[in-house]
Amino acid sequence: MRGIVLKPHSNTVPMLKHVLKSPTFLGITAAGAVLYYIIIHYIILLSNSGLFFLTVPPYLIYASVLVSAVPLGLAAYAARYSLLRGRIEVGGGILSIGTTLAGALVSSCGCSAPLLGSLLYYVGFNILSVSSVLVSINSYQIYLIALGMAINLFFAYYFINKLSAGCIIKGNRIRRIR
Amino acid sequence: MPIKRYSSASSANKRFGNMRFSYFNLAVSIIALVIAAFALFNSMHQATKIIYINNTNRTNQTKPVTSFNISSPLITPQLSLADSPVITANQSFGNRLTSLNQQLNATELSVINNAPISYFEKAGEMYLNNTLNNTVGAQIKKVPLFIVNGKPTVIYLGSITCIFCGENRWAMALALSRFGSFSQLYKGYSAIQDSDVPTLYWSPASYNRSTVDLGSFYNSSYINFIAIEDTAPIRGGFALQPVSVMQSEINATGNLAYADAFKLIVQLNNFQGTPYTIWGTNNAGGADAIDFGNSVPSSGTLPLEYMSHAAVLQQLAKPANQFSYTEYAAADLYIAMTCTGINNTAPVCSLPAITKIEKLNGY
Repeated sequence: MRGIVLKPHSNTVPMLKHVLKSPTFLGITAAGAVLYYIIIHYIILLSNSGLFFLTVPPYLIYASVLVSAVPLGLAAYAARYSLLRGRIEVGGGILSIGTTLAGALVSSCGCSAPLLGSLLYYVGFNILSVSSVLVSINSYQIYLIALGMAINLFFAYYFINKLSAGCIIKGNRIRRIR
Repeated sequence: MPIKRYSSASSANKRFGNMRFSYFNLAVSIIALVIAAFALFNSMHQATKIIYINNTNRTNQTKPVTSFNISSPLITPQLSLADSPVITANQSFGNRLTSLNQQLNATELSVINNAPISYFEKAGEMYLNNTLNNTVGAQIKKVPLFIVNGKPTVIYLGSITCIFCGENRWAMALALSRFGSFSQLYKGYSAIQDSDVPTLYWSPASYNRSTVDLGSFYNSSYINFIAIEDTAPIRGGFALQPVSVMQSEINATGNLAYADAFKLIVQLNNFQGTPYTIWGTNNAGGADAIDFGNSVPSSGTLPLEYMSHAAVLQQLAKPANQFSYTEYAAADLYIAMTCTGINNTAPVCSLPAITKIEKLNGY
């Protein structure tokens, strides 16, 4: 079936267990989370003139980097076992880093947002629209970061469901079916 | 269903083809995305592009904007606000609004108005000698002079809930006091959930609602000071109104100086947040120093958060540490920016450190 399948496959739970036991998934997810935290930290420093100052709760940043790393871990997992053909792994990787960068820009939006502001002016926004965007982002910072997390979690569900539909698991062994 | 092939962790290393293709695609796309993103961010962040504008269109070079030269009274704010009374309760640090909207007494005001010139000179030399630990300086763009009643103008757009504005006002007040004096200043804070750093307000702040507070009690024979302070409930964290809303509120006052000052900000088309200041022909985006105490903050806890106004004023009255000298150095940069706009006619402009800073930073 083409398109996004939302209905859980019968194989989803065993697949999830297999994924969660996979050193590839765990390792890449952990490494990705650390990398993403460094990226967010760096962007906030850049945006706040060297000061790591958060206008969102720190736990939200930790949760965000962890969840953002999950699609990356899943993509690496699928690549490791050759379970899919590449496009979805690439999509997972891009989604993962994309939501991280977006989350970093959102969370760096405080008194001023030189990075995001520059980006918006660069693509043709004027002062009125830039200020409206910055004000809106600042007002809905927490929700926007939560949205990014939800997108990543949805992708993870979709990914595992797709793997479940295309693979057979026997014990620790997994195989792809045509 | 037909089985294509078995895969397992133990046999994975033997497989090539799809696996290599997938890994390669994944790695290349992520690395490319990260590099592209950071290249873009860095190029934007570090670029210091001088923007000249004409009255209608932004261009990136060559055509200076027509200078504003208007006659208009400035706004004198009220001495107190009925809906934003002085907070007298003694509250704990980190959750403190004690003395909010209280006028500085004569002794406190004197610290700002009568700061010895030697403090500015020493701090300026420290800046020039790179012996300050904190970051001093802001990105500068050249802008046309904004002249009101024959005098160049310093324009400030800030927010009472902004932590960087809170820190920046100390240096601003010190700099402005070299060209004139304040008859009133008020004790303030940044937002209570935003480290509530102690600061100065130019006028009593409407700390319970979103509006724009205009004006100050500043007088100078060299310059004007146009203060535009966006306000929001101070207990609600940082908040800023859109520029369009601020402009509507300012235009509604009917004051030409403030309306045109904001028109200039809109025309410059580079606002990225607060504080946003114009010192003569120099437009500084952001704070002029990152000075939240005697050490560079390594986390969200700021040393200044645990200081009272009295403690800050005491350090400024007798500077002996990084915090106070950084504030004076930040003030020096603002002074140097302003001096170029008044052709160095104020006595402070002849201070050796100021002339060196003017040359060094190309003001």
